[in-house]
Amino acid sequence: MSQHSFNPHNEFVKKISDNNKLNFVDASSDSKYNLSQLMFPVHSEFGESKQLGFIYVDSGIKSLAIYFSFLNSSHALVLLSDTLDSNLKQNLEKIYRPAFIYDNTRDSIGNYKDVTFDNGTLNARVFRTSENLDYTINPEVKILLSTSGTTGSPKLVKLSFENIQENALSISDYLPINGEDVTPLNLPLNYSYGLSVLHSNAIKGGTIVCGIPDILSKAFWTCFDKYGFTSIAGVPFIYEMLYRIGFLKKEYPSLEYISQAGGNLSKNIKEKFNSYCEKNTIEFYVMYGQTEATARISFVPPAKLNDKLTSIGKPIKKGHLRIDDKTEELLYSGPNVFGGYAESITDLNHWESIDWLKTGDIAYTDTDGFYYIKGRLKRIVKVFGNRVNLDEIERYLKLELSTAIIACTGIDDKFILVAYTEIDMNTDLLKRRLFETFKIQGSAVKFMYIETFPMTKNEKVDYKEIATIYKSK
Amino acid sequence: MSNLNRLKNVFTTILEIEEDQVNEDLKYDGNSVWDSINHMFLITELENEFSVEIDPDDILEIKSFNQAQNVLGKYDIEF
Repeated sequence: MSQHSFNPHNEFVKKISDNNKLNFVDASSDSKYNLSQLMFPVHSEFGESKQLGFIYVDSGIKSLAIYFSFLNSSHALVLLSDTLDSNLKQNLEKIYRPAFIYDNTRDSIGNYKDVTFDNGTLNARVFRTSENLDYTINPEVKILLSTSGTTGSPKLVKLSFENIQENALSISDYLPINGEDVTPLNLPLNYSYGLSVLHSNAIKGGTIVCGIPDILSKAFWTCFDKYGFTSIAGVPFIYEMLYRIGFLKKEYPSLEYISQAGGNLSKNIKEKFNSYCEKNTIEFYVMYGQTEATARISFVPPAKLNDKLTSIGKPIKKGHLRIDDKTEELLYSGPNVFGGYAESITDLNHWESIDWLKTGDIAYTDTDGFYYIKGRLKRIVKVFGNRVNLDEIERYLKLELSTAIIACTGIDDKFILVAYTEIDMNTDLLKRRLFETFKIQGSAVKFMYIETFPMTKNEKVDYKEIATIYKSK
Repeated sequence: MSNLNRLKNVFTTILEIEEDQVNEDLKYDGNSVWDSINHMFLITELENEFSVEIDPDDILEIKSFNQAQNVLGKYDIEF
């Protein structure tokens, strides 16, 4: 097999290719690969002039190979889940008109022709357009991620090579990542936290395992033992699930650290994991971040977690946090702050320089300089790690039902509560609409009838009071 | 209501599917309506409905409508 050439002008790709401990295991076929074996010669087909590509990823080795191959190219990439509804896919493709598309779930795509890459080890099919595209992409724009994950919203976060490299370096500075690690990719790559696990391990780690079974299957745990996973990354829901399936009742000799991000893990589960980790000399990293900061903003050093259980910790290396005097909003600055949102193709030509990222969270600090979140500026809840804007949902439901008497609120970042005042509300229809449009599982939506909405002093719906009424039921 | 109907009800309510879709072909799949999130809701609902406490190992066992009956059988719920 010919040695693949890595782009010497790209510092981040160079750092990855310089990591001689790096290798990949595809658990679904139990095969091992080095980085060169993943690389497809995409330059020959797609050239150097910057184009936009859509990559619909799954958890397998081919997605990983395609991702690294295009990371090592001059093109900009939108990472999306391949499980996204096909109508949502087509809608995004209409808005962004990508020059090429990787999607293993479709056999053909409208005006696109397929090209198959074969590097002697793996092969993959990519669709390319026959259209002449006339848009320009800013040199800074490299990776575009959605903040919602499942809804197919065209709003994307623009990230540069510098963003992803700096964030990977900061993360590998505090996480004990080393060449002996065996790291499972148990989070999707189109999700900023999942991508950060890949990036930070690609520059400093050892074995990266993809194609792993669902965490709720016995096969996952067989896989865990077989390869000897040294870490697990999870959003709050994964920790709740791990707790429920008896994770803390067993021992995992290979496990060195676990990390948690993607929202607030309830205090009692956090406590249980923390005391388990202390007993079993496993480090537990509770972290905070946003896609707009590439992924990571702050973390709690494991030794401090017991004292600072509800804290989001302190900023990562090269990052700074401060609190706005007037609004109490948490602001972040660092080399990993994004270059603005894109809502359509024309936005790709702009790169906004943002000094302070407005997190939308309201925070305070303690005397030791640890940060704590006490609320949100916008009405946003995180349901299963996905960000949901309650005002957007409320607006949609009111429009859909032609009614004004509906109010949405979040219950402890677990459920969306839809309160209504009409007795004969068709809640099944509401659930279905929320699933179809926002991909919110019906089980994450609760309904409550109340006679009249409680109001605040300035005549606005009192959402807090609605939540209190619900909880007291 | 028979235990089988009670079980079907749990599935139709949590997975939001029609009753005729609750059959032996109904299986857990990370990407479908029966995903990991709904799985945990399903387990909780089964516990409530049948007043049992499902063992952690059994949570991973319940991967189809048929397996749900087998596992609940261990808790003396007869179908």
